[in-house]
Amino acid sequence: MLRYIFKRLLMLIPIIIGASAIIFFILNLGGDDPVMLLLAGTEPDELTIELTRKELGLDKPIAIQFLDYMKGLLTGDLGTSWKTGKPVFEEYMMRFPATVKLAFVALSISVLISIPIGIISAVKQYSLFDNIGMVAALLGIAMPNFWLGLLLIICFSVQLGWLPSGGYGGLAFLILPAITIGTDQAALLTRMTRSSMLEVIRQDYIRTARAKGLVEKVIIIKHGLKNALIPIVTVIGNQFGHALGGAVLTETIFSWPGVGRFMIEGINKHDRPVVIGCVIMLCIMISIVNLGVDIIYAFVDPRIKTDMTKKVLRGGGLKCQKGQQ
Amino acid sequence: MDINKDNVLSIKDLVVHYETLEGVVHAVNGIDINLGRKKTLGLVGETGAGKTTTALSILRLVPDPPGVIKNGSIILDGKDILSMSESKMRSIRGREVSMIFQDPMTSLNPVITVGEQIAEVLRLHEGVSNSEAAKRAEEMLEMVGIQGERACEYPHQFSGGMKQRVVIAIALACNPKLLIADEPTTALDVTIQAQVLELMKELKNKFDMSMIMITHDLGIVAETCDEVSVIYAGRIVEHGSIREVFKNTMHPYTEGLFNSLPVINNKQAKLKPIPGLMPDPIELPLGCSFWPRCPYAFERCRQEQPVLRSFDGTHSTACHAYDISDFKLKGRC
Amino acid sequence: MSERTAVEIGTETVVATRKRVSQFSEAWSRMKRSKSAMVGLIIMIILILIAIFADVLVDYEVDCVTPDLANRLQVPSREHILGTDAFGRDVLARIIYGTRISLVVAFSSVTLSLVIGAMLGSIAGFYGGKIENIIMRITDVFAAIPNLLMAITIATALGQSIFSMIVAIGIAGVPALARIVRATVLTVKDQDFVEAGRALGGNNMQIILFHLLPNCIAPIIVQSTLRVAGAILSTSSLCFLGIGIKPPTPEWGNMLAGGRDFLRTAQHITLYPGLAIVITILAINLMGDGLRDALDPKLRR
Repeated sequence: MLRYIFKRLLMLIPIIIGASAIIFFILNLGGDDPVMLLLAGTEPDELTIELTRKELGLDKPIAIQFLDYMKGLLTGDLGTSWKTGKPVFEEYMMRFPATVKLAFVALSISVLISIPIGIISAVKQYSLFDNIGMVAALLGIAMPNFWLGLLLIICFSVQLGWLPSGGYGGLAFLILPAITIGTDQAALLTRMTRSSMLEVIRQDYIRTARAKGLVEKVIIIKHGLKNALIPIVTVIGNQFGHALGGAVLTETIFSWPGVGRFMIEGINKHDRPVVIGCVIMLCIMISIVNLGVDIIYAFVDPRIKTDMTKKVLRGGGLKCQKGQQ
Repeated sequence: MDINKDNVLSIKDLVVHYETLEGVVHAVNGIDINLGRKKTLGLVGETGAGKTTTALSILRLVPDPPGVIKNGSIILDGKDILSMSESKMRSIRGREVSMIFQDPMTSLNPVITVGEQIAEVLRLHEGVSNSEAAKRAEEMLEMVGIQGERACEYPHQFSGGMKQRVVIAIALACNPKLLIADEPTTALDVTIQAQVLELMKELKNKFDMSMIMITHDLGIVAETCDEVSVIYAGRIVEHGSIREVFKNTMHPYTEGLFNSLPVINNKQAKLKPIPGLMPDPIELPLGCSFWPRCPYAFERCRQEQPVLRSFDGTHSTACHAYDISDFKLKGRC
Repeated sequence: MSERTAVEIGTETVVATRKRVSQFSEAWSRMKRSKSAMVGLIIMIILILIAIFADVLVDYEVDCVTPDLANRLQVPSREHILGTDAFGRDVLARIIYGTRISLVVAFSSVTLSLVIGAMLGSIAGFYGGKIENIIMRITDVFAAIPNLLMAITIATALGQSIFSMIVAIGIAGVPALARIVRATVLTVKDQDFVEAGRALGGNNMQIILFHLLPNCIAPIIVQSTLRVAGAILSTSSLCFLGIGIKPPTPEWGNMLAGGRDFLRTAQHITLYPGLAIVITILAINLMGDGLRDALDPKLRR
């Protein structure tokens, strides 16, 4: 198991290098001189410009800049913000807890809504509940989540005055952004749950379960759900990973001090190290979450569990035994 | 009528339709079955003849929609299946009558251990405790030739033949009066087929069960059954004991089935399939469903449906030709 | 190649084309059956017409761009059906013009994604081996960067114009499309008619273009349709964030951004452009779902 995890983490490396290279070079494509953009508004003189350029290493050719950055990465240095001069990693970590909180609450909302609705829609296919549910999901997918956020602000903040329209604090500040992200996730998740359940209900082993005389509820939950959840867990993991990387739009609207907003600020301020740092962290987040999902699979899906157990046993030099324990 | 006491199953005039977008599929068109206790009936016919639908009707598992049982009565061990409540029906499934299906690879739930899949039937119908059920599940496994310790394993860890044994174990766990086997060996290798059939015969005797063996393979019928009903286009065209039907075939379709079997000894002989295809169940021909493919067909066949009529012993067939005296099939070549 | 071979190829193509045509008309009649898909299609047609005839419906200079500060932030009235924005410009007129921009960016970017993605995917799927590996690895790295982020980055680099948005969203959409094309090519590649095509003497390029790709069309069409919806979302997201087209050019996303300052006083500025986005994406998704069901008959009823 550990070897598997290690291998997966190793695969992260080319992705990080590749992704940061891509962003590095794309950002460099812009015709404007980054130094000028940085110093914009201060009317610098020639000397300041040259000093700044040297200080930030921008006088070297772009490939060297990239290599220098990679070298820094090896020591865990995500670079230094061009604007604030502070280490990117430090600034990132300051904001990360906020994003994590948001991601978790959004995930909970999403799962609590979509799984039950998805299951019921599948079981009662074509019923009124199903139709309403699917229409709602379609609307949810069609709605840009930033618009939903704005509408929620109008409704609960402006009209009703129940909740604040932005900022960071306790539960009150968390609810609206979490609902914004959560319902966006739920729209897709509901449809996926429904189609996964529908797939499963059609399977032969459900027919076998019926022929045993089991009650429908038991069949759906015990025999159906466990199988249906397997592909759904991937989607949940994917969504969660993205949320951990920072829900850029939502954090912007609600002035939520998370890493998503950090990244956008970095882009607007032409602060390249910040942008690259955030991208790298994002890739790492998504990969770790996907890895977590795969490990959960191993516990949930016996086909994978036994496969992995065999691999581990074989790797340890033991003969593969029939049966477990 | 001599329905109930001697017969574990009595089906009368069963009619089942599937109402689909493309039209009404006439799957079963008036089938009668009377199965005595401890007897095995072979239900023979090509794919699409209505065998599986008939079997599913006995358990009331015909998918609804689109399936509808339009007519008929099914009496299982004295109980009227079609008028029963759903909860009563559930107590019968798996306990009084069990069914095993064709493809063992997909019939078992991949995320539940085989032991649990057996134990849950026991807990459900016999109300035994978890540990008792687990113990008996292991015993069932041993009875079908699998080591009891493997009860904690998952279906994917077994081969096809062993999976089917597990399926059999599940079906027989509560000692049903009737076992319906829908092409249980079709998906298995030939050598495994023989083993599984042997097992089924052995268990049938041990448990004193009646069995319906659905198959398209006459060889399996000869091996395992006492009587046979030949189904074509949702109707029974011939019925009788094995001896009667095999030795003294009466219906042209049955004759065609026998003739289409390759003869091993005669390497020169050409294969003799029945020409044509089974009719589209949405648009069955008027008259006898078989007439377009029947070498003996005449005018009356085109217009009037033949009725199942008794001849010697338990032998019956539905064919107009026998109204013409002295009609005999050309015989098997 | 002998004459006979050319005739055979010709006949085969005619037969195949006829078959394909009848396949399409079959799929069309299947799609007609779905009410929601038809609704989506009709809405799309209306939107496309609005986009094409935007100039006829509204006067760009007068209605969309020129500020009319005396009339700013008017709620919907008979004169301005959907009200006016912070600069006194008519919201409805701007939404109508925004339709043109959204659809142009969406369709262009998806076309870009399609051309590049189909090329990469079919080469990868067809040749397999090292080439496939390299292409897919590179695609995976691109795919590791989330869609929106990629688009934001490219758009930032290329400046704020329609062109840069098209390129940004287009390139961001390449990995997904390349994957689909490759997967489809892999399933189709082993089928017999490819062997037949080879036997008739076609070279690899011909086989890819004339035999493989036409049979991959169905899933590609479905994916592309759904990607158009994604592109509309990306467009409005980018403009909302201030990256991408800036006002006074009317775009639904930047109209929403403009409305942020007036959530208390002029909610109509936020409401209506958002509604436009929803309707458009909804219509596309309905159509896409209908297409998917119509083109894949094996899908459940």
